[in-house]
Amino acid sequence: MKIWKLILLIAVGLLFPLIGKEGYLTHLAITILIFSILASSLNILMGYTGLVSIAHGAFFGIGAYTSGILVLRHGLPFLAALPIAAAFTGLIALGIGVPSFRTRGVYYIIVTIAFQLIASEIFDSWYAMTGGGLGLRGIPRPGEIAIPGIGLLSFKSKFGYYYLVFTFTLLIHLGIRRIIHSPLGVSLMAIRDNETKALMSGLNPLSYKTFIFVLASALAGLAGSLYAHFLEFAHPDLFSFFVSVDLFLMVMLGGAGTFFGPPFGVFILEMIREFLHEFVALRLFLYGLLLILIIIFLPDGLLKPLSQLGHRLRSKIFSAKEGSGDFTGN
Amino acid sequence: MTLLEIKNLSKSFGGLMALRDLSLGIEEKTIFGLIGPNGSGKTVTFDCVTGFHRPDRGRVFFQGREITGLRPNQIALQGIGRSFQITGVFHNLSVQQNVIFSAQDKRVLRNFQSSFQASRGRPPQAMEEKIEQLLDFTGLKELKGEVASKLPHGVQKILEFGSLMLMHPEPILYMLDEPFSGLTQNELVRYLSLIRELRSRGKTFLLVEHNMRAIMDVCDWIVVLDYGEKIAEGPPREIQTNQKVIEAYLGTPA
Amino acid sequence: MIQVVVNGLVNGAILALMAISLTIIYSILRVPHFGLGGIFVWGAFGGFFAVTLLKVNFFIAMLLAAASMAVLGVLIEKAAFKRLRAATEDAMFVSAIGVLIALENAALLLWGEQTRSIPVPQLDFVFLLPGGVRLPAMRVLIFMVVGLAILGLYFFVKKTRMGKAMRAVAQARVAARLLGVPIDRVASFTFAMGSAMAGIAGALVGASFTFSFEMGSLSVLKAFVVVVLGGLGSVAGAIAGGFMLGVIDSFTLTYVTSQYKHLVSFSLLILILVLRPSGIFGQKLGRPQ
Repeated sequence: MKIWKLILLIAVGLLFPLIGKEGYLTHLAITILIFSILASSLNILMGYTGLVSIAHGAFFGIGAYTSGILVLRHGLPFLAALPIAAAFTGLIALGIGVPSFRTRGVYYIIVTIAFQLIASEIFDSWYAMTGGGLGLRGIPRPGEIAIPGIGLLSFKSKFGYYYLVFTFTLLIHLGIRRIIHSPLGVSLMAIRDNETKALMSGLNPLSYKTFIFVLASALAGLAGSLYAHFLEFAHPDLFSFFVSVDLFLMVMLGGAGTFFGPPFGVFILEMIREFLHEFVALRLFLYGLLLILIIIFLPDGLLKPLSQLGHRLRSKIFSAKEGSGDFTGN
Repeated sequence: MTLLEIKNLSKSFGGLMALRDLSLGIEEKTIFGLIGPNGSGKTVTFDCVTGFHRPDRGRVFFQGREITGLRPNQIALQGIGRSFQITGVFHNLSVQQNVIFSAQDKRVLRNFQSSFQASRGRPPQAMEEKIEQLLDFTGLKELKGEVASKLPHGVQKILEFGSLMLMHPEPILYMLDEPFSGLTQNELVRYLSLIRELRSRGKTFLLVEHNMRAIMDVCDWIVVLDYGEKIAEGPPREIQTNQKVIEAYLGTPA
Repeated sequence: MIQVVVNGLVNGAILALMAISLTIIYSILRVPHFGLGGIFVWGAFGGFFAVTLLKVNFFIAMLLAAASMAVLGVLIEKAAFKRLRAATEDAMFVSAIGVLIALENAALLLWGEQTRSIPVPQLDFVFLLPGGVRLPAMRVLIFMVVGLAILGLYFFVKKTRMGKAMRAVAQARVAARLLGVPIDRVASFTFAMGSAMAGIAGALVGASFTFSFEMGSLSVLKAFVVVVLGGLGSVAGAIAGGFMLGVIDSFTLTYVTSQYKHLVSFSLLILILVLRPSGIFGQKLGRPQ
């Protein structure tokens, strides 16, 4: 991808809060960024390695609750709680992942669903730890840091928190991009395309699957920590089976196995959510229809056909300029 | 030296006995053929040798070392390259990516580490040259960027074969399962010449095939299976006139 | 204690019915039809409206529920699954989840979120069995209906031509098609039967307990646990697994904890799948190619 596009994106990202300030737009942007981390991490699992998981919401939640509890009840600073939460989530993923890879295909998806439901039930029922159906309230925002040359950046404000999340999102996506274009990326895609052949080429699928599952889940846990401290609240409904399906839809809608697809999918679905904010049932109904339509007609996602359309339009415009004559037919 | 030694291999699935007490030995630098009617146990033999099935009884030795029961990736690292009846390529990857994958290191942590190095894990100069050489050798150079699933069937088969050559470590024994199925005459001639070229470089081949002309043409030695048992073995000329073999394929005259 | 077992068997019967629907659709068409959860909900609503609006008795209401769900099921097959016949199971699974979500939320949109119950005054009495066991008449009906459904299914599959066609497609689809078996019709019939059964299950639950738009997901997931326990594709396994899980759940609820009720069944599911990746009776998936 051309470097100027990257710079443009980063610039837009950096300047955005100057428009949004403390308003709802910034709130929305933060949500989109956090969900992009979730979608992209799910994508390396689903789109690049071929491991369809409906448990990502659960790991999102584990990270959120862990971080919230560490700061709220044990007084850890945010910058310590975040990595611990991510690492702990990765550890749980290790425990559930390794045995689950003995299963294949639909059975594997079912195992992830079962795990998601177990996690949801624990979030809901372990009142002492998670606050159960009431949720975990009062999770504090991190404080402030001093940036040389700019001054004090407070994360207590939306403005400041935006930059925190933006930094993480950027770094994580750069890292994911590196992985995709590396031998690791090729190996994961090989496992996705033909695991038997990968096996016969000397690769051990179990070690790769374990590695990527732990990595993706740890990233989800990290996103959870960011989310919990943003909302200052955690609740089982935020990390449920339906959230996992949401994430799945985001990846599919944008295009599994592409780099920009999932964040695009996040954007589209968040826009739909905003539009239909009051009409939850209608929105979910549309999600259901969307799932069916996408998988039948656009299994590669929305981004690819849209960008191809964009290319075609662009070339039409350019050829019209160079073309013979003008519009009057001379 | 006997490169691959199969001793008393037996395997059954459910009640069905797929292999009965099969023993055979493959000398190095030979092209060895394994033939027999459908269901005679050829692919099962391959699967048992390359670790996809655990034999019920019997043992397999490669270069004098026992490899019975090892997993396929471990066997690959011993120096055995194996192709599949259903063409084994990575469909969504390009020809070049297919080949690079074969050549690169397979250890996950090593790969992760190299992603973040300055080189971004790009293959070292020496390997890049080997890859170019391979693409030349197999005639795939122009198709470097093509996605594997879009290639014609015969080209996919050649790609599969080519990627085996670049495996790391390089295979000493090539086990090819129906490599010629679906090939055009030209493609077949090309493939055979590649095999002969590699043999002259000291490689050994074990082929399962149904294309009798090709097998009789290229093999030094042939083993015939029927119902999981070895019913004949010898040079092609002898096999062609062997009564038991003819009966196995055509049935006894009424 | 017997009460616990009896309660468990009642729930198990419903689970078994759902599980059978899931498993026949899977074994014949390779579709993991989570959408049946939505049909389950709509069946309950169908029964409800039949009784309250059309003023028919419950038995007719059940038949209406079955018939209407059969039609809906066929429509869903054509809309959401027909074009995916050659696709991977993952793709069909996605579509099925889409159907589930769409149906549940459509019900929410159309009929609201309140929990209702189907009134069946004719069966408003309770059998008092020895040992102090209470068996509401409605629950006896559940046993009877489920039993009839199983028998009906058995005779249909074993004796009729369509049944034979269904079995043929289950065993070897390509061969069946080459031999002239009408796959489209088999698919329609399979979905019709599975949906009818799920619809009846919904009506039964709606009458014996309560129902709402959101009961579908959990029911179908539980049914999936059963199907996996018994093995995807095995009707016997679905029946056995259904009753087993119903009793296990009942015991867990009563003696262990009322909070983590699903934890046990889902943990059991994971354990079984990991130890025996094809379930207890199930078909083995081929080597990944």
